[in-house]
Amino acid sequence: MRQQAFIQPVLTAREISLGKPNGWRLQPLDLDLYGGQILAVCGPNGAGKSSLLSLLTGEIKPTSGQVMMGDRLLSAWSPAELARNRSRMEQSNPLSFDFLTQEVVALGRYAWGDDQADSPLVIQAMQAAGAYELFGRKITRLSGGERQRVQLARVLAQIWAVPRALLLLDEPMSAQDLGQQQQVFRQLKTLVKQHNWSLVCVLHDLNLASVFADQILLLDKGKLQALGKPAEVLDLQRISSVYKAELSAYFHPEKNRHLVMLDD
Amino acid sequence: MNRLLALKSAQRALLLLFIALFVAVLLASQAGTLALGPWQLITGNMSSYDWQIWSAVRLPRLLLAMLVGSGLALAGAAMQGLFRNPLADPGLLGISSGASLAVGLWIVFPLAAFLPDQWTWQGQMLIACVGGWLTCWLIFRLGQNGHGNMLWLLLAGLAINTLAGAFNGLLSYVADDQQLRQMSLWGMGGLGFVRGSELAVGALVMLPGLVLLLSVRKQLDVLQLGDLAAADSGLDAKKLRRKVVLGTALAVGVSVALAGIIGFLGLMIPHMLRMILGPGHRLLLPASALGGAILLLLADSLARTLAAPAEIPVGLLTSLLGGPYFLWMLARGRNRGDV
Repeated sequence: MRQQAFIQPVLTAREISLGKPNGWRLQPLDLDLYGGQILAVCGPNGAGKSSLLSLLTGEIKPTSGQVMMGDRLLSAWSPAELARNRSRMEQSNPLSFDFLTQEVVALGRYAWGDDQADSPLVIQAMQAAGAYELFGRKITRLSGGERQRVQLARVLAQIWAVPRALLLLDEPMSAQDLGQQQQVFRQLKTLVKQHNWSLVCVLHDLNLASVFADQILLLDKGKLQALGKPAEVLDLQRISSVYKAELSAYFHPEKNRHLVMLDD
Repeated sequence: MNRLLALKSAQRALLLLFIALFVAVLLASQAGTLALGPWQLITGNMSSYDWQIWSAVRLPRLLLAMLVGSGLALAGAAMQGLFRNPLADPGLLGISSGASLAVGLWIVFPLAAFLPDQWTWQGQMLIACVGGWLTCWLIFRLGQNGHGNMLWLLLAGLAINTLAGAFNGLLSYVADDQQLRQMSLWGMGGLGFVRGSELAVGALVMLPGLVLLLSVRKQLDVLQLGDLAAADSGLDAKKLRRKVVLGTALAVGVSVALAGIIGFLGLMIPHMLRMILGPGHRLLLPASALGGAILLLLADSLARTLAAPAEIPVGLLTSLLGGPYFLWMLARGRNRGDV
């Protein structure tokens, strides 16, 4: 941890906010994202998770504060440069023409100009996202979960093997079954460590966040409630009040991990 | 349906289309009152009288059919990519009628009087492009609220078509005899009324539009991901949109100015080719340009021969083909849950 102070963050956000003091969409907050780290963004619906992601990508300009990627302000990056160092997966993706899955994944290489649909890179990205079994299928004929994995492969292909890239995923696992969640998250973790990526991931499932994230950022009504290690953030009282739910929390001593459950 | 051709055989697909185009040119050159067989054309074994008529009447007509056909089909394919919707046809969306309304206004109101006589038709061509461009923008502006929704687009197109039709009707009330004759002659459409000089200017205006549309074929693929994801991938969607709208306006404007409204070409050709070649615009756009040229050459040959010695307006013929095709697309789309 002490060493991290000397390592430059992949992305730095200082006092970024959205909206006015009486109608905050996101209250001012600071955030440092480091290479090799996974940050889960959690919170109830409408807490400002997607707004935060939009601020971090520069899609929306913050009302106040600034976002820097590397040592430059986001606005000082060209769109193509940004695309080669950062990719984002949205919650939904409309594709009305029946492209083949590998063609969709290859679209991620647009900023690089090497967008052949059958390149080894595309295949590797599909394997990493658990989408290789869908090679050659038409995207319009796939289920929601299958499409999600293809889109994940696309955003992985976009920053494939780029060191210290930023990867933002908005609910990437919402349509995946347990086995796929585990498989994909293990792959993601490996990639993050291997290339020193910084992964920001909006997650609904607190237990999933607790298992895979190095840190959890908890938002509620546009306000930062907690930011820290899963064990610190997943405090029963805090979680119950943020989600307005009756919950029980358990500590699993062997796994050294906090779990949250709904009460009946 | 499985794709008949894999991506790798893109060149082969284009080569096949080129050969088909060549065959269509030969067929079209011998269809009609003036028949010169392919062998005669290749060997030059014909009377100089025949050759003169052929090169003065038939050749411009063939070139015009190719120009208009490829322009309309390419504009259709690009529009469909821009709206992410296979039903976005320049005719159905009202872009053609917007261009034709502009021409109507040009004929009836004495705007052309400021120009010397020999410039009148160049002005007409230009004004058709402007009309197409304005309609394009209007549809696009309105369409942003509808998010490219298919039903919404078709309704907007219907409204614009109806409005433009009504205004054109109004114009024919205001017009004097000579203007009326000019309007109805032009309004019938068809490929038989064009002089070589008009064709040359039309080609000069349209070709940059076609090149512009072909130049964005890669970007159109990326746009299919949605505006946000396309931007994240490094695409400047605004610039792309401006290019497609301008290219479409040039292609459709010149087509309308030279040949009147020829419907459904921009719908049928890209749709058929998409089923065979897949939806990737890199191949679809050049293939559509070739396919459009082929179809219009053949349709025009039919138009010349079906009721010979009289001619059927070719726009009528494409609508007779395209209307049922469109209905079939709708029915098929409803069964599959998409179009």
